[in-house]
Amino acid sequence: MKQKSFFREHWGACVAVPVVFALIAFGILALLSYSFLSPYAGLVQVFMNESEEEEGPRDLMADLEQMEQNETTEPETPDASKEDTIPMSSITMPKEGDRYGTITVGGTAISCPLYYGSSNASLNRGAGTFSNNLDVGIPGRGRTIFIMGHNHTFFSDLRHAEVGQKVTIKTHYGTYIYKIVDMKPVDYEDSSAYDLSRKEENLILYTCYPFSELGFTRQRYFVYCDYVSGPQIDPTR
Amino acid sequence: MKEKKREKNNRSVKQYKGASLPWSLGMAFLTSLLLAVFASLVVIYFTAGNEEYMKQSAEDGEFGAHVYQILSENYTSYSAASGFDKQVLLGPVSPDRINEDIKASIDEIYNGDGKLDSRENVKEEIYNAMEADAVRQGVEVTDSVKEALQMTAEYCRYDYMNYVAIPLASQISIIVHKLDRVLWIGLLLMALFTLAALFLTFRLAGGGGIGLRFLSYSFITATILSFVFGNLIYPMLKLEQLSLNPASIKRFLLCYVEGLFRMFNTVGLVFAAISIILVGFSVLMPRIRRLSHVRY
Repeated sequence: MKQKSFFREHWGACVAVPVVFALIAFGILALLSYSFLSPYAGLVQVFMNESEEEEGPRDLMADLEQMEQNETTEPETPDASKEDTIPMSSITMPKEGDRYGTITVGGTAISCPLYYGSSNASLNRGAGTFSNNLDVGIPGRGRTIFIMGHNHTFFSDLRHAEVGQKVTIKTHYGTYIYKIVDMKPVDYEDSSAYDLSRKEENLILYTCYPFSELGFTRQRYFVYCDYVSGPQIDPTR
Repeated sequence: MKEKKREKNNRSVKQYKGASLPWSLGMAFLTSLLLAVFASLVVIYFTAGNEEYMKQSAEDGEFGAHVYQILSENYTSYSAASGFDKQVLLGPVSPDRINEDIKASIDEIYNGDGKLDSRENVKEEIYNAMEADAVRQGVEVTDSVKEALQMTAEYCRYDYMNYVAIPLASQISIIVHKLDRVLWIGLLLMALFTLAALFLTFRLAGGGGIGLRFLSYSFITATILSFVFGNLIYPMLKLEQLSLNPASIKRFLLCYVEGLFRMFNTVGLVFAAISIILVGFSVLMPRIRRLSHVRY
């Protein structure tokens, strides 16, 4: 009788009953969701990032440049002048979009930031390092380094590159020097112009050709360089 | 003798006239579930079933501005490769135009078959802008130059076509058309079921003030469920972590889904208003009845 009066007369029932109803409803919903959706939970995870905010491109040169500005003496970096190899574990490997160096081509006006990856965003800000192939590398990895830039902006002066001139790549983990050994224009579909599977360090610079042509062109200009100096990255350490 | 009879009558008035309490509570609970399902259908009707909602989501997600930012980056790169100022390539494109074009794509999903617009007009406008600029630069527009400009304009068109589009538009269009047919019937049937459940709850509880009180239980529960759906489910889904590119589509999707869940709050407010009215009547009715008894 007491119970009846609670449900039909007591004010508290207007709160307690709906809350209990809602909890039961959510319990049912949770049970149904678990039964029907749990098999797909793994699939959903595939489309989810681990972190809520995806990390944007980093400027790996910022610290080095800051140190150079603050110190009058040469900054302490794992450089070729001091070491032949550097452990891979001691350097921050660049990710897509990171600025990780600068490139200077001797005898030309080319001196620009170097980015990892060749997205439009990277090529708008400097030269880009091709990263869409497991065989290509970054300076010090003992592979082919494939660097590209736009013919009307950062690599417009590649036309003045000559055999024997030096190409300097300064990265956040060391300075590398290469020597130009050859150059030629080729058709954009000619894949024989480069060998990305080479197992010794070499550098290829690349841009659209002819340099001053309007619109997208069908030729590319390749500059081939041999490795001269710079610390090799030791992947075992 | 007369006194005894009156006492018996009074007792019968007080005595509960409806079904047993568990049945009444069970029915009230079932009604609250039906109200929640009905609310879900109403929300779907005003969101997924409504092209204006999708257009509004595109606007709220700043789709035009986001896509313009991406296109600006790409076209800047193309201009650096083709020898034009970036404004030449970007001239025919603007956030407003992107918004208008994406709205037209949404119309195509709801009123057509979701066919992808190839955006040939964008290509033509960009080509004309480049050709005019080449002439202005004093360059002779030969056939090879025309071909090079066509190639550049084609890249621009391709980007515009891909970024100013709803992914899986034709598949969404099929679902939307099916939904359009089924939703009305679903809403009508659910409305009938819900009305029947409300009537049964009222009758099983014994009608009058007590019946209204049990109805208020159903509506208050539906209010709680609506507000929980409107405010807690979306954050629990953690859709911000969704790995979806480009960012413009991700932002658009998040706005769409968030708005869909927020719509439950509006339905919750309607349920809350009905609950207040029902509670008010359930309090007033016995008093009115008592007053009418005294007068009688």
